[in-house]
Amino acid sequence: MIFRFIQQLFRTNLLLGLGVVMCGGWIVVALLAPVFAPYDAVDQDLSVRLSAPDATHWFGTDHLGRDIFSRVIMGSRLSLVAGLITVILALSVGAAYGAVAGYLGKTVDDIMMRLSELVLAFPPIVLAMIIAASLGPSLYNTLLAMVVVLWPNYARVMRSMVISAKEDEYVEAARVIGASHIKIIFREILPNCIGPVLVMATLDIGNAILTFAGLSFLGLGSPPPTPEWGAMVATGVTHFIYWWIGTFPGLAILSVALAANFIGDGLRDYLDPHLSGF
Amino acid sequence: MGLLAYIARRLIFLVFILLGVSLMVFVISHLVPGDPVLSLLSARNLNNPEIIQAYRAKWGLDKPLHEQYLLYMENLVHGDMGRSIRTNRPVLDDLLEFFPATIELALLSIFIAVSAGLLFGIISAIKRNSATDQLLRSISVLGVSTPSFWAALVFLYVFYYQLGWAEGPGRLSTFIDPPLAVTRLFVVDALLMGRWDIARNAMGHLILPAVILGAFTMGLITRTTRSSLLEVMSRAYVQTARAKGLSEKLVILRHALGNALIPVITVIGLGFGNLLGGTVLVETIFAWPGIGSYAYNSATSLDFPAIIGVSLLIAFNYVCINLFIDILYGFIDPRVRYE
Repeated sequence: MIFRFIQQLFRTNLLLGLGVVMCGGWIVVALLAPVFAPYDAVDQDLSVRLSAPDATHWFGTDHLGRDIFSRVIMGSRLSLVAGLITVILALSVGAAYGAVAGYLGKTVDDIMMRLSELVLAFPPIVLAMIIAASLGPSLYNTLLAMVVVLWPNYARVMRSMVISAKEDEYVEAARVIGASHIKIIFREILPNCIGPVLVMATLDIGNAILTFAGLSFLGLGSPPPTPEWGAMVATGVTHFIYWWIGTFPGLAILSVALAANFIGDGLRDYLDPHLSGF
Repeated sequence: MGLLAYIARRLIFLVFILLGVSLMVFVISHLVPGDPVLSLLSARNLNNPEIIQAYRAKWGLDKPLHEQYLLYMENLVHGDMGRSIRTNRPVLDDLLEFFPATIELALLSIFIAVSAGLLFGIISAIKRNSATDQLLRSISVLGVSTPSFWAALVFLYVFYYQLGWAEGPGRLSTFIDPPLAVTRLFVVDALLMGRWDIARNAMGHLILPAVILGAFTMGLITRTTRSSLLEVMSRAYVQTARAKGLSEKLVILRHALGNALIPVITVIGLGFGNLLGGTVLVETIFAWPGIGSYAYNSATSLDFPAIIGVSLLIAFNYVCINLFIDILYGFIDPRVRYE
């Protein structure tokens, strides 16, 4: 049955189908990571350090002789969870905030948007670095830093959608029949404006995974020796001529982000009634 | 309210944003358990309480937070952003030295991103669901999905180390002297001097990081242009234009595109803002002496005068870009009112 579903997906939207398959693949890999990984991800074997990919170590080994294939497999768990949680939190906070600001307009809107700009105006990576530094580098603090950095984007886009939507006739109609502000915002406007924000959210899962990898690249993720894709690419930079160290974890980040973005695109086409007419 | 009054009001808000940003950093600087003294003094000096005391007194770290803040503000009004604890130079001098490198990179990146993104997005929307559409969308998705720091590593390995097509890290090769500082954008300055060799070399250093940074923004612009155009093209006035018998090209260029631009411009603005401040990853790998590297080095050594300086600079850019975009909305869409 699953096979038929995927077949149909591929026929209607190639990229969406590809995204679903890739994403499904990574979820399976993450769930069964210890089964797939041929070696222990933190086991060092200095006798084979910096060896190129071959039959025993498919992706080669790093400077401590750890098996890169196993580390990439184990690293999938962190990345997927980090991306999903960050976006759900940022979306909920940002969309509600932006909808209220855009709907109320005038001074309230002005103050709310300037407040969100305060966060946006802050260099994200510096803000994230300071948060991570002040709370100590850990997975939770890195996630918190990412939510703080990401939510204002949702607020902005939601607000701009609401501003143009609130002049539309269906809103006027709702107002005329006496619907409350809260009902108009969350029952009338929000469902009509959520499309672009949802695309942004699915797009942002990829983005969040990239940011997370970037922060761990800078050394702000979980402390070593936890296998983290970004940190593994950083090792690749310091061992520049051993190309396999950075290449494979980078490809993993790329493929997860690709899958998330393919799904995001497909979802938008599916959700938006304007587009299905074509 | 007129446009000028609107701008004036937004500029007043700018002052408040800068105040807010600086206050935020000051508060955070007090919350951070890490002590800048510990990260900047050598181990030997840390054993000597007198040296630590003298160091704190020198940088005003021994005063209460609000006094530090007021002192900072007073100096700032006089054009003094304080001294970086790490580089031991005035922060303003540091910023003036590092920012042009970032501007140069950001300008080329946004140029690549906007020209490719708009073109791809429009073609994608016109030929929706065709093979061309799928291909262009794949390229744009590839752009937003590629980790920049990884692309930097791969590009350097392939195009610099293996093929030798592009120059390596830094703004200029070591055997070349920088051009006379006019705009401090090396390519522009070299051209002003008439030194093609320097301009060529600078461009060779610029191209890899610019393409990598531009690819991400290009992906966002393509995606937004396509979806916004498709959205607009389902509206009644576009169908009217079609019903009049206009060609599809005219319908899109004259009737749909203008109305589809507002979200696109928002994305371009956000993208440019990010380029001017958030390129830490790419700048670090390319040893690009820009504001991103400076911010990273300042943050990791808890050099707060420098962190506040960088934050203020980036906040200033950000607000100005936003203001510019909001004004642009009004020119594109006459229905937008400056309330």
